[in-house]
Amino acid sequence: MPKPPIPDPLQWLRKTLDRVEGRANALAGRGLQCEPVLATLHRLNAASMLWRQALQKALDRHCKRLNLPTARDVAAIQATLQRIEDRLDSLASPHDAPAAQGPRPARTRKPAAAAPGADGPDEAAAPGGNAPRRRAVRRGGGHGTRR
Amino acid sequence: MARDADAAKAGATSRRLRTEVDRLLQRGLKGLEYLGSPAPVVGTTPKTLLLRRGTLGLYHYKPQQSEIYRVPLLLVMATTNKAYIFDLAPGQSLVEFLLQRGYDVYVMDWNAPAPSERGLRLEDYVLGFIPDCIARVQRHSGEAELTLAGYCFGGVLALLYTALHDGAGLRNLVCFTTPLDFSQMTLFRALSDARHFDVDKLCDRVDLVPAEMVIAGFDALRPAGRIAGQLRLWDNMWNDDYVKGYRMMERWGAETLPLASEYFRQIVKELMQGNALHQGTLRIGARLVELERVRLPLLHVIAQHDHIVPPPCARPLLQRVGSRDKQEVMLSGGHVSLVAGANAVKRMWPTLDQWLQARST
Repeated sequence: MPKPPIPDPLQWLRKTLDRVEGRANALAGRGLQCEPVLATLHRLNAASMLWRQALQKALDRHCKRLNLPTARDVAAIQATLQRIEDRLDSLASPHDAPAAQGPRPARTRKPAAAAPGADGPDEAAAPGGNAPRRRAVRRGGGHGTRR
Repeated sequence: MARDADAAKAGATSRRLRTEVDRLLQRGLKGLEYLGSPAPVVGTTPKTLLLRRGTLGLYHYKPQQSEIYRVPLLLVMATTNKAYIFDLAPGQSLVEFLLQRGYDVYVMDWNAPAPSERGLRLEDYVLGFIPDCIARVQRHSGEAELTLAGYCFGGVLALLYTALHDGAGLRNLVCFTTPLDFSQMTLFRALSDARHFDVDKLCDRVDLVPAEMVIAGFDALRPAGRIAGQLRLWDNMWNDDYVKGYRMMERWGAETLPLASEYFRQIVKELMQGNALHQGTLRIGARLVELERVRLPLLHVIAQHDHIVPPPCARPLLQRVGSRDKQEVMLSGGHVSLVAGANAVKRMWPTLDQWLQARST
């Protein structure tokens, strides 16, 4: 195929963009290692956080004055609804019991390259030699207790 | 002969002009369409919610093969983001790939914590959520052992669980770009430098560290990335696949989650500032985390151009664990392109499948 006489007009711009992006990121990276830049960045961040909180407080006051729920009230209602929904899910969900799941695929799949009868990891590739252990889980077993 | 060459040259010129004019028009038209269209749909692979407990959601994906591997796979997402990065769209979904390869896939996803969950700590994740999900997967699948695979900080949580429970209930451990030596995360460390950043002051003041602050932290590592990304988007606006991929990633980034303030305090003070995991001084629930107690077969996949977890930060993991069957794979790509996108389809997914299949029977 002959080489097009008109080069891709955006090719140069694309390369320039890559270069400029790389340099800008490297420069910013060096800036983050520089104490005054870092200190300024954190001061700006702290100021933005204070501003956000002040705005939130003002909004909350305004909502109270209008007899409307605040963001915190809405979050509390959401959390309560979520707890109810979770509880309903756990009561209604039969998912945990394998018998309730209906027919499921057989867990007998072997790696494509595995020879018949060789059902474990390649010992050479797995120096740990973790032989495949086949045992069914005890009902109610496991370690699902929360600390 | 010369006339043929001239004709070919003229044909090529005309084709090039047509292409450029066409793309220019499409950029304009599709740019307008882009502004008015809704966010792309993600995470469409059929799944069932098995457990929801506050910030935690455990999902089971419907198997797609009539014969599956015995050992189920439980993916643990990083707590800063939604797990649909594993299931962006048909053909771009790690979950779909694994289902088609015959794995039984479960995913631990996170919701934005409620203000009432401000007190969540690493202990809640490592000694509460993960063991609870493992027990659920065991009951649901009827299998005693599973493969635990964590992405980024999800990998840290999976690693901590394995070290503290001697791998109970697990057959294999897989970590994707998991940080260990936090002293090598130079930019994040600079951002969390105790001389400038009073984490206690922040965490005492807020219930949740806002998602905007988490996003700003990631953006600070590559501040030119966002604008360069938008310019590239305009350049590729004629390309529907590019735009779709960009929008899915953009949505994923924008849906970054806030973090419980105690959890954030613990991560900053103990891991970022104290580098306690690497130094072997980290305690979870008063128990010392000893990485040499991780003796399961381990695969650690690292991204060569990862700017969030650079390779020097992730590489010590392999040396520190007690596993005999352990493998580190360094793949070309970045932090996110390791698990999602065209790079992942070609590189990481087949690598993972190859490693897992021999250890999942």
